[in-house]
Amino acid sequence: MAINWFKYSAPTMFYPLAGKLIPWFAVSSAILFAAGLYLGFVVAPADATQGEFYRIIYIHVPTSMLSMFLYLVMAGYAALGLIFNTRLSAMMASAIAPTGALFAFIALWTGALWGKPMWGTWWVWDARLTSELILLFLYLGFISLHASIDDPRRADRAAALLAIVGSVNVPIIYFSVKWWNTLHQGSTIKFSGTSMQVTMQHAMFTMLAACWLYAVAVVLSRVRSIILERERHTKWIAELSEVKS
Amino acid sequence: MNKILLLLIMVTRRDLVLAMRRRADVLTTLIFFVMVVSLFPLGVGPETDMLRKMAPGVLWVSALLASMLSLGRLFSADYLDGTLEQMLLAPQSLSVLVLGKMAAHWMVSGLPLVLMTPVLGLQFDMPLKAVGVLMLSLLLGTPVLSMIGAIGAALTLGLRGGGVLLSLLVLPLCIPVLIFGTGAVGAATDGLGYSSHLSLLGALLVLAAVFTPWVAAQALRISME
Amino acid sequence: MSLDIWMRENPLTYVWLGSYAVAFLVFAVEIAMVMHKRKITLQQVRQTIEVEESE
Repeated sequence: MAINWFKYSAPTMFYPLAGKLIPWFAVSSAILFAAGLYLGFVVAPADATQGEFYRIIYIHVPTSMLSMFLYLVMAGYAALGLIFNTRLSAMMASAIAPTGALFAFIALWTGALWGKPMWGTWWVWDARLTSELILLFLYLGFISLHASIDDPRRADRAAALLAIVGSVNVPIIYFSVKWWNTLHQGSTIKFSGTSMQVTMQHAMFTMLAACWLYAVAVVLSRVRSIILERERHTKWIAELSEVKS
Repeated sequence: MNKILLLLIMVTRRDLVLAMRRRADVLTTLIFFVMVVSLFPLGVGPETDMLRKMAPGVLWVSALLASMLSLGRLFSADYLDGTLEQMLLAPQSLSVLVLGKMAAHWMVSGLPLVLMTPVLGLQFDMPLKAVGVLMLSLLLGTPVLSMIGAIGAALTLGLRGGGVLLSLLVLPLCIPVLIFGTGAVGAATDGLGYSSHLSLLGALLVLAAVFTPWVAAQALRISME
Repeated sequence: MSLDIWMRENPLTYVWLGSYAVAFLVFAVEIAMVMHKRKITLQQVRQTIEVEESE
């Protein structure tokens, strides 16, 4: 049985599908968050060297991983939109950006809070923290470029090009920052030198999955609003039940 | 091949002639650069040791800001008088035209900064060798800034508040250039080898020269349609 | 300095209040924003359709 995946790349088909999927993603994300917190705080033991403080890892690592992945996903959608001129992919890219930026912010915030008890300062110009900060700047650039262009088509395409240039630059930035960091700091500070216990890993993966599901749910519901906004002059929007009531 | 080179030279010369007609703009960038650099000792204090250590970073960041300042003008004049539209319609490759404009922009706003560096280096009491390396790193790095900046300038063409937005888009992308540029000078003052830094800067320059004209041309097409 | 001492005495409170509460607050704000945006967009769409029908 061949499923026509392209069927769902049209906003008309995608809108109701996303509406059906959102509750599932939201509920499973909430369950996994609860499970992950239980595993992380009750089941997993305190770390030998970092004590209770290490438990920030369960929110810090998933959010920073997601903020980087989401940038790549965003750039991927942007590239698809630019090359194949599909409406939906550009909308997806602009729906992902705010979520990615917020994840980057949370990652920075929790990183600073972790740094305080571990390193004694809120901020260290560590390679990863610095790259994360630059990633946040890249997200903000994407969002503000998109916001300052009135014509949605030009906004989509210009922001897409910026996202692609940014994603090419991300590895260069990361390695240059890492290199700069090793030059300037004699002793590199490691995030977690000790090997993680199995329960800790379970908790981390559960939280990571929860964050993924959360991101998908939020992005889908944001993209639904964008579809409504962009296509409000079309007939199928006027026939939607939530619009009629 | 010859034709492309000729075209490149023609576009560059045209932009240079235009820039020479408005010499004030060129001078403004240079004065801005000198002023920002001179503000730093006033801000952090006149201790020579600290200034000598800070000098490469200060000069590089100031050069970065100064090149942002003039980026807005890269396409806007041609955009306003309709020349850009003609360039888009022209049978010649738009990437080559863009590369020519980048080169002219660098000669007008990047090269003067490089030439000004020795004087400013003396203000910061930099050793002669470090000044040389700094000039070399700026010579390799500032064209990259012009090239990356051209993408941002093309994307923000004709937008309100374009100048600030342009800096927001371009500055994060310029970080590697800044790191390698200051790294070279730092290594030279510490008596270490600085050739690897300069090689990396050169690699960035080559990469930028190959890809950015095309990307900026695409950005122009997006902005102009 | 007092923060340092407090932090060492109550690590779990620090972790919870500092990281998890902030993170979930950010999530809550984002969810509220998304829901608000949907409400506003639906209103706009209804208005557009009304205007188009009356023309």
